[in-house]
Amino acid sequence: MATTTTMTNQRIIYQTESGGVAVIVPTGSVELALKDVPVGVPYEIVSAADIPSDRTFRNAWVIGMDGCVEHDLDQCRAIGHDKRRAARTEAFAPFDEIIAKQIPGADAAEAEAARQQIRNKYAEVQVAIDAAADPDEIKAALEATP
Amino acid sequence: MAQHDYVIANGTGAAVRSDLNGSLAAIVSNNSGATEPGTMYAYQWWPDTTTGLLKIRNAANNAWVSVGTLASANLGLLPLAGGTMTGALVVTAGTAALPGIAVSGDLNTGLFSSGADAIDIATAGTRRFGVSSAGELTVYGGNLTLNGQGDLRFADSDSSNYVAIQSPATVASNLTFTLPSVDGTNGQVLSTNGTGTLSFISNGGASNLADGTAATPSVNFSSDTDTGVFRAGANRLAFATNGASVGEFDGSDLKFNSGYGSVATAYGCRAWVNFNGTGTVAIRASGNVSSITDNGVGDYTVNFTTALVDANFAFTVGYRGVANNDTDYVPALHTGSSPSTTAARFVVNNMSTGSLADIDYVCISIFR
Repeated sequence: MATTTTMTNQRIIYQTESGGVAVIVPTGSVELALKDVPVGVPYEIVSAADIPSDRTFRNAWVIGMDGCVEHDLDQCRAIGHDKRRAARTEAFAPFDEIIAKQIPGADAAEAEAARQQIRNKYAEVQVAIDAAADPDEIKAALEATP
Repeated sequence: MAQHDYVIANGTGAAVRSDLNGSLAAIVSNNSGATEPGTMYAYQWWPDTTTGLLKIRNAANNAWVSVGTLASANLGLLPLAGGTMTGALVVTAGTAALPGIAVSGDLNTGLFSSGADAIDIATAGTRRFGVSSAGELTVYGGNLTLNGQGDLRFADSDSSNYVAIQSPATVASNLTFTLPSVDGTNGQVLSTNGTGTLSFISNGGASNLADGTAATPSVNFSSDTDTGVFRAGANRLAFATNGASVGEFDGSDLKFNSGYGSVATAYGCRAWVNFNGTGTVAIRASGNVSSITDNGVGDYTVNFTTALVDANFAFTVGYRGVANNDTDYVPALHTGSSPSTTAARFVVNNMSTGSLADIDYVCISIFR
């Protein structure tokens, strides 16, 4: 059985049934990997350099009119909001525990105040995400979250 | 020296006496003289003092026959006890049954000539060896032996160098190779049947070997005779080291002793891949994998170069965790698709978030 240690710098991309982008990474020649494209599905052979290396919004990739990988901004926002909510939930967690369990010695009022600060902060992130003009601005809004 | 006509003429007593004395003097000197006697008789001796030859008159009394040299021992003739001849010894051609030169007391063994310009040797009345007029040497009916590891040499065109074959220094018992009766085809080699009969076979062609055993493999090494290849049974090709079976191919399986004391079937890894699922997804190394398909975050399809026999394979997936992060990741088959003979889709779950995640080291192995 052959062992492959080198590969081409080319990639095969095609649109998935869900509208996303599948990227085929060949182990050898790109021609041999063409068999891995689903039968009947249009594909493009592109340079690996043309595939975004930032996978923050990987599930928002689409194939543009020019046959290259682009970002669907609405999906980027949806992903950004998912990440925002996940981060907010993580930030809420220690204060939620104080309030929910009424831990003796812990100041519930202080915890509630902290929660409000978190809400306010992520509300700003939400606005920034909705106002973002491109994925980079969405990513910047997320990364601005302490 | 004296010569006489051996006729006593009538005369006086003294004259007759003188004539008798002259004839006796001729007798005792064998008629020697510088010239031939005036009156000659058949078989008359004449030491010719001019030529130094002893001559005898022939039967017809019309010529002299030289017998020998007067000044030489034995008149210069070859003694019965042997000697050196200065001229050619010319004998009759003879036959194998009666050679021209034969051995005393064994007259059917010797040299003869079977034809013009040919010489032959006969023993017991039979020709054994001959050299023809064309220079061809032939041994008739017997064997030719070169003793003492002597060479059989084939010289080049100017006889300056030769190619030779010879016997080994020691031969335990007589060995005879019988050459093939017909030529082989281009590229064929000589092969023995084990009893000295040679034939041409194709190089790399089939060789019929004994089965052998683990202790004495059919194909082994001169320096390690209990290590090699043998036939363990019908359709079973086995390998031995140190006299013990360590692996074999049978009709369907590869079996080997992996250290547990017995030879058992080994189940192979049919495909494997090590790739980086982050950034620009890249394959580090693989086997029987034509590509991976990056379906999305933490979602990859492994595509096989050569299809598996069926989709009922087992797999393992490994990954490298994220430094300073106690998040658990669980690689698994993709829930929305089933493995096929040509591909299998895997996902990496982030158990903290419940979503899929990209991992920098993803290693997948397929066993069947």
